Amino acid sequence: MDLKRLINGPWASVRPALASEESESPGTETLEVTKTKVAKPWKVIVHDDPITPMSYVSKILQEQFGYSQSKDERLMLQVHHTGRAVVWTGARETAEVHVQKLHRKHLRSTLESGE
Amino acid sequence: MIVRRDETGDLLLQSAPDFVLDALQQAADLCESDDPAIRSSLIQDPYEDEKENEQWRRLVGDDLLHLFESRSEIVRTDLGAAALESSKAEEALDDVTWEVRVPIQHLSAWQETLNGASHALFAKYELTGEDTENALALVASPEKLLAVQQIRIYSILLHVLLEAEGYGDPDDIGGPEDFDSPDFDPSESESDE
Repeated sequence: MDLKRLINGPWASVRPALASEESESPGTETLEVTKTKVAKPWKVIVHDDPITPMSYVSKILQEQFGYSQSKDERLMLQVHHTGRAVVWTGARETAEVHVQKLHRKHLRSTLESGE
Repeated sequence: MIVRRDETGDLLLQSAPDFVLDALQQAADLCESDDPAIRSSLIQDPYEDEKENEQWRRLVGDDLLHLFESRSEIVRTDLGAAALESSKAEEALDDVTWEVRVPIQHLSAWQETLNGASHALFAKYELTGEDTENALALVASPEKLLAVQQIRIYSILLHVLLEAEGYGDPDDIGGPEDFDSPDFDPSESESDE
């Protein structure tokens, strides 16, 4: 009977050996590398549509994001001329809140994961 | 139709003909419609992935619907208080006009309902941008033509209500060439908050 396996459970055989448990050959060093993965920012994108007036887009962007008038106008014009504009980037949860608020105002908007 | 602001700051839509009042009543109804095309237009999908969209609709769909209903109710109440201006209502129906008071606190609800109703009509009648620009091409389709005219009424009113708050459309909106200018940097639109 494999007593060690019974005590530690079936995962004992797959548990990675700790550095202290490893039987290292003399002169060998073990390096532990920790990687931190940074979450990719999410983009809030406003899309052009044929019926929403530009002044309405402008108002909503100003109210929601508190952008300056010049930035707000540039974004509005970017939406109008190129069909879309990234109006905000950041954490996914906040991006979702922003999109929901834009949807409340019937502004065409989507979320994209930043690359 | 005349729009003026009274001493309390409320907006008065005066000399509004019957058909405008009808269109406004319909705006409130459209935002509450359970027509699938309208629903999917008003409750948008923000993701490319359909599973994420399903979850999104489950999480926020009811909240949005309640909000649309609540705003429609505000508009409906204001319309219910509309005052008949014409004293000859029964003699000459064509001359019937109304005065609608839009309290300053209701301005946003009105604007959002008008914009929502335009989107609803656009989706319901499967209109395109070309249809809205060239309504005459739709003569063969009276329903679509009527929908485009209705969207125009909403658009005019929305502009008026926005201007009342100081949000007029710029006279010169520039052209696409503005975006080739080195002065314009789209990345400035991104922020980290």
